[in-house]
Amino acid sequence: MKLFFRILADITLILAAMILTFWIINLFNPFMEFLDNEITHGLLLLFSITSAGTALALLWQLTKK
Amino acid sequence: MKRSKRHLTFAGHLMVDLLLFAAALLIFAYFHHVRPQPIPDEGIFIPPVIDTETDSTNTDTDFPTDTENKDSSEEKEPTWAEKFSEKFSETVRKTETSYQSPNCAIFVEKHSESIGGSEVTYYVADIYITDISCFRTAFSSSSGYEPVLNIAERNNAIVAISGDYYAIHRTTSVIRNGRLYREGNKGDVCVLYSNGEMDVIAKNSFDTAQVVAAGAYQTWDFGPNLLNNGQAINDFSDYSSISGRNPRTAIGYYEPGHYCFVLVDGRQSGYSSGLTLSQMSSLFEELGCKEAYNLDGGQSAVMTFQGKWANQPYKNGRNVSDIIYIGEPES
Repeated sequence: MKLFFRILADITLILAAMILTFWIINLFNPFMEFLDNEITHGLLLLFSITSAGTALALLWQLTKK
Repeated sequence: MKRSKRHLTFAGHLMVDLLLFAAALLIFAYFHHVRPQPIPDEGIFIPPVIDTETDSTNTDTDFPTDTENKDSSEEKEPTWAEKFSEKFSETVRKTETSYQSPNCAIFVEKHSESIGGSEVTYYVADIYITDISCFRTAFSSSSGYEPVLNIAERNNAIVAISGDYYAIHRTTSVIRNGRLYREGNKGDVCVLYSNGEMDVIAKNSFDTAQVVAAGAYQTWDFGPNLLNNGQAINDFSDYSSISGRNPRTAIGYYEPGHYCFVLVDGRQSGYSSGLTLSQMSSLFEELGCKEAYNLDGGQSAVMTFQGKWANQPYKNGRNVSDIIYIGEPES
């Protein structure tokens, strides 16, 4: 279970860094559609799911004690 | 000691995440803009709309029109071949800066001048054609994006410029050579109709069904529009991210059968610094165009003429997904 949450946190961190990167480079070149494409849409969905999972895991850890 | 070990573990953990992040970015880049985007098969054929009053290419006299029956003495609209007859030649004549044949005439001029306090070099290809089929577009090969010169050579282009890089966008309109490949809209859309007229439709006003019904022959979805009824535009706030000095590719329209390609070199200190969108707009007003439209510029900005680069591309150009070119009519 611990390993699962660790991987979940890693995925969340990587996805967050990716979306932040796309958001910044999109400011400089919006014509490349770094944010408005089906791959990024998929990554955003995955990010939402992993973020929710990570947050629930953290809440569970905090309330367990 | 235990605390230090834990700290190192955390740092190591972050390092692994950083490497995975870099790998994920590379994978994204491959699927986003390195791997060629497939264009669906052959597209959907758009029948040309024949307007007997304005279509200059129609020289068929087998079927008299209502207009002719009503008043046979009424003057017929001259064909493009008649209207621009002094530009064409009976045989193919080529020089370093011109190409003339019975079907098309292209004159390429290099201009170097100071614009806005900086040296700018740009090229204007003045184009006359007798038939809309001379005005064509081509995609890169299915195996990948290619330099403009390669696509131009494969299609026997006389003069060619980089297009709108349709493949990098997922939501733009793609009508090429009278075939509908993709419906959509992102920016201002330039439409070339089968009767030779060109129009720029403001973004969000574009309707695929409407332009298809009107006989759209080509569309380019990049922008922005550079002229308003032949007058220069100064407000490019919607395109602020690309409004600065850059190498530029653009297309101009005078009247059916008469067009121009404009290529501005840039980002090359001492040779050419490029133009802003406002300066580009003013340039087209000076050229006397009715419509003008900005295409994919920057490192993509390349013009080829008779199998060679006409301009001096920034960093030798880049591989692109599509070109606009003039060629002899397809038999």
